[in-house]
Amino acid sequence: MTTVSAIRATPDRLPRGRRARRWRRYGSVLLIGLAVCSVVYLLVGLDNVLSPAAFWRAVTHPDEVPLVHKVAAETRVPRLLLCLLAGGALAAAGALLQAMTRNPIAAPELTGVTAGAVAAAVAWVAFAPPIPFISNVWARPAAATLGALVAAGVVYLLTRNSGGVESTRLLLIGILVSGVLTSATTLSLLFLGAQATNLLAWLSGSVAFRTWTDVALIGVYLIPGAGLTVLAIGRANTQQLGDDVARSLGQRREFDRVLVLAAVVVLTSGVVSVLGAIGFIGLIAPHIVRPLVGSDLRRQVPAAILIGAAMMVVADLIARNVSSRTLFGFLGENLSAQPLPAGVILTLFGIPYLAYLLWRQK
Amino acid sequence: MNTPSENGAIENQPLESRAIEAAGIDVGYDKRVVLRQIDLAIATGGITCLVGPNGSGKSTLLKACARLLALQGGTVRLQEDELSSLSSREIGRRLAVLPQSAVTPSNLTVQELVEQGRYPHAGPLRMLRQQDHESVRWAISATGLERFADRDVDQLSGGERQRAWIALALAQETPLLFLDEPTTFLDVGYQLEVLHLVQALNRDHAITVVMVLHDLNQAAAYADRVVCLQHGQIVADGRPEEAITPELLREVFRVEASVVSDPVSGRPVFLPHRPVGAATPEAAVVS
Amino acid sequence: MTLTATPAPVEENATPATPPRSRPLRLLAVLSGAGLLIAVLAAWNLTHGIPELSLAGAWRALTGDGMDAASFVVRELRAPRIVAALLCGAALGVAGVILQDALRNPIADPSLLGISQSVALVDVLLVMFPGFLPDFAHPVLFLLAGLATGALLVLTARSVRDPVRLILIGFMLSLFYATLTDVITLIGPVKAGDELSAFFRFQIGSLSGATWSTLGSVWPWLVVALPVALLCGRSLNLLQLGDDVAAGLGMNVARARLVLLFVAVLLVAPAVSVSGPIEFVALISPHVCRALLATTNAYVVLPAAAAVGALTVLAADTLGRLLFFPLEVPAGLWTVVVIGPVAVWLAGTQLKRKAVDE
Repeated sequence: MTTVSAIRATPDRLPRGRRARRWRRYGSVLLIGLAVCSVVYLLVGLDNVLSPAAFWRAVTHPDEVPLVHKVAAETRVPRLLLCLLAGGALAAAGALLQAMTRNPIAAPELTGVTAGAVAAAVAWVAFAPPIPFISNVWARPAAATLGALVAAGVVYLLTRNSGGVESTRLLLIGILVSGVLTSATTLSLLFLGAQATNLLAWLSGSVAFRTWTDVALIGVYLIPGAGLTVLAIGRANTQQLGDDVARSLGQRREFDRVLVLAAVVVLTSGVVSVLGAIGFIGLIAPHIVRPLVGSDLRRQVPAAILIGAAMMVVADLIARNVSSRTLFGFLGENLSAQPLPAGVILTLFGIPYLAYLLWRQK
Repeated sequence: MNTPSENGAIENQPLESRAIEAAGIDVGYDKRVVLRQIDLAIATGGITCLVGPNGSGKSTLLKACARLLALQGGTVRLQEDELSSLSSREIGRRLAVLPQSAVTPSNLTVQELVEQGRYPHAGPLRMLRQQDHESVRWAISATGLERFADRDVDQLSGGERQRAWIALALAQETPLLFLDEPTTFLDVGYQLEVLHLVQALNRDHAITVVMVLHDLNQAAAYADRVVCLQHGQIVADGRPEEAITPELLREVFRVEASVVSDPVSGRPVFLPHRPVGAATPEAAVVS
Repeated sequence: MTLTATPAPVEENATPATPPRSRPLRLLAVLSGAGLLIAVLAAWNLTHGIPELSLAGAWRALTGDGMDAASFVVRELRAPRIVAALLCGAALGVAGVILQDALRNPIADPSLLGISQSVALVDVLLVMFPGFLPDFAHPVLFLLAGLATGALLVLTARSVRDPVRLILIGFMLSLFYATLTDVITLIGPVKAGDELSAFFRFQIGSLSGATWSTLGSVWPWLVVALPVALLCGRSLNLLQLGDDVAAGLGMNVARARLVLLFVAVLLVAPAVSVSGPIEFVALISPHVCRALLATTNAYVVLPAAAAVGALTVLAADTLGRLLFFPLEVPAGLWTVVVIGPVAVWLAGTQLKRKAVDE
């Protein structure tokens, strides 16, 4: 009896697919777009617009330039890096989660992952005893990861046991769990009393007043996150074909799902524990790139990372430069000029988009 | 015409000619037992169809043999190895399953879908190598999908879509292929298209096929061996003309029917007349 | 209805063969049980805090016309809060029954559908920027906001037939309003100390701001709306059978649904303007009542839900005020933290049952 390989037609590679060709084209377009956004981000600030040359001088010779230029260079560079890392990580987490749950409206912030991370981090600050030698700055992300993992696990178990994970059910239960966790966060804040003010600034999902420490923190977090993502892409790719198919292709019943979930949790909690709850990048970025590069995660995840980073940069650019007076000036004169957190900007644009997705979905 | 496999003499065959063998398996969901003490051995080379009324356990049997469902008792052997001792990826390299009505995500091309079939062969990072690209190309050409390789799966016709899924299973390069109702939700033209493809794969590429079919006449037309289940028990097993009898149709499917021979293929064809117990509209003439 | 709409009606016709039972004795038991608990909680609430009073002392302070501090605290702070809790709770419980039956959605809740948050948004605007409108116009504005959201939902429900998706869209609305409320509290001209309490009042729901004067402008609405709502039983019972059956029995389904939604908003809007969006009370009370009464008959569920809702909000507020005294936990926080997990479970099981049915 002949074997399969013996009777096979002459071995040859298929020509590179349409999607792969498109990805080469769109990938470079996205990269250029992201670079442009980043440059604009670095140069433009409220009442403080620098020329590229001036900016370069401010970076290389910080002592020879006017103080405002020096400050701009010193604050904008770490802030930009944070935006890029956070946006990219959240977008990757969203793409993986949507594939794994086979649910186009799944996202870390809608499945309890983000709320779990925030709740655990706040509870840690509020109730945990001080641990010697470990700074709270570094312990908080660990607590956040744990919380995100527990919340994701709870949502996963609740929806998994109910037969097929129906896409909207997952979302509903995720949102309800998020609501409960958010209230738990508020409860912790209440017990913290006056100390809560520090945390509130962190919770708001703002990139303002962040330093190189935060960049280091998020960077350290995203190294295992990136590793897990690389491992998760192939697995999630198969999982989006359905549980039975994934299993018949040789995936283990729980291990491979947990691995993908771990990637999502690490990526999300890394961002959330440093920047607070930033939503809707994980939801929207995969949707933007899917029509361009398709559902194959080997292309979708990198493309989503680029888009997510760009979204975060643009959102923070708006947050930094558009004062709330310009946006809501019609409400009256006596508004505070406090800048809005980037997270709020994203939410204001993200919610209508999600409502549209829900409305359109068949 | 196919040579029917010697099902009756399966016990006497050497071990390596058995593709898969279930011995005394019990399978169920939660506390409900669906299959009780089933023995089934599939020889290498033929097309075996599992048939039976709704809820008879035919899909469950298929899934249990592919370890998609856990056994509550008994063993399944894949060639000489016990299924439970193999790793999932090892099973994926030796046995391909196409589950019932698999749903494709949108914006996925045929080629991208078929590439997923290389998962059990790929390395830890799941990158494709030269031999993987060859298998993908072979799977796409064996299913006649070269023209569609670059099209989105959800824009194809029902028959083409099912062929794409079969190509995914083929890309696994397994000697054994399980199909769970591959013709559901397809028009009759597409149904035959898919079944012809399965037959061609079986004959030309020596792939042993086990499939669950809903339509008895299609099972009779394409199978070398028909296994009929009822209430989790095998009630008939053999060549189509042996297995599909008026008695079986009456006992298991609750229809009064006559079985005739297809003048072209010589395969049995059954003509349903009325449900069991209903009044006779006119005298049924059995030729 | 056209044939293409959905194959579901066939099954809907088949399922509710027996009309829902009316259970007068059980209703009496539920009402008196809730009344007893309310009395206990009210007594605890009136007597505890600063100053601590005996039951007799609290009674004297309440009924007498003493001008001492104790009398003031009891009469002007604790009593209106209890009344507000009872009124808001009853309104929410009844509104929950109406929304769940009218939208045929077991997890409908004004705060999950965005109705509460739209009222809170208007409220925060009116508080932050006073002087736009005379005080008496405020309740009308609340009503308009709630009605606009309700109308949006009814329109959505026409094209979106899946109950879960409807809830999710409503939830997006509520999230959107909540974010706007957030933004306004963030940029609004509030003094620093007020920030947290404003946040609680407008985002989470708290009764700490309830006084006789805030109650004054809303109680007439509630006193009118509650009896009207209790009379909606017949249409709710019909709608439970499904749109097609109700229409077949001679009901103008679209109009009835709009009227019912109007009644629900009439209940929710004034309640929210006093307490803020207290979540999950409207979701849970009808389910508790249906389980206790062992019937879905809206005629008996409605009054029971009023009592259970009132009890729930009063319990949440009393616990919030006294459990960690002097730290005050807003009532809306308790309802989410305590009832939330139940709501999650309910969403899981109720919708699963629905999925199995269909």
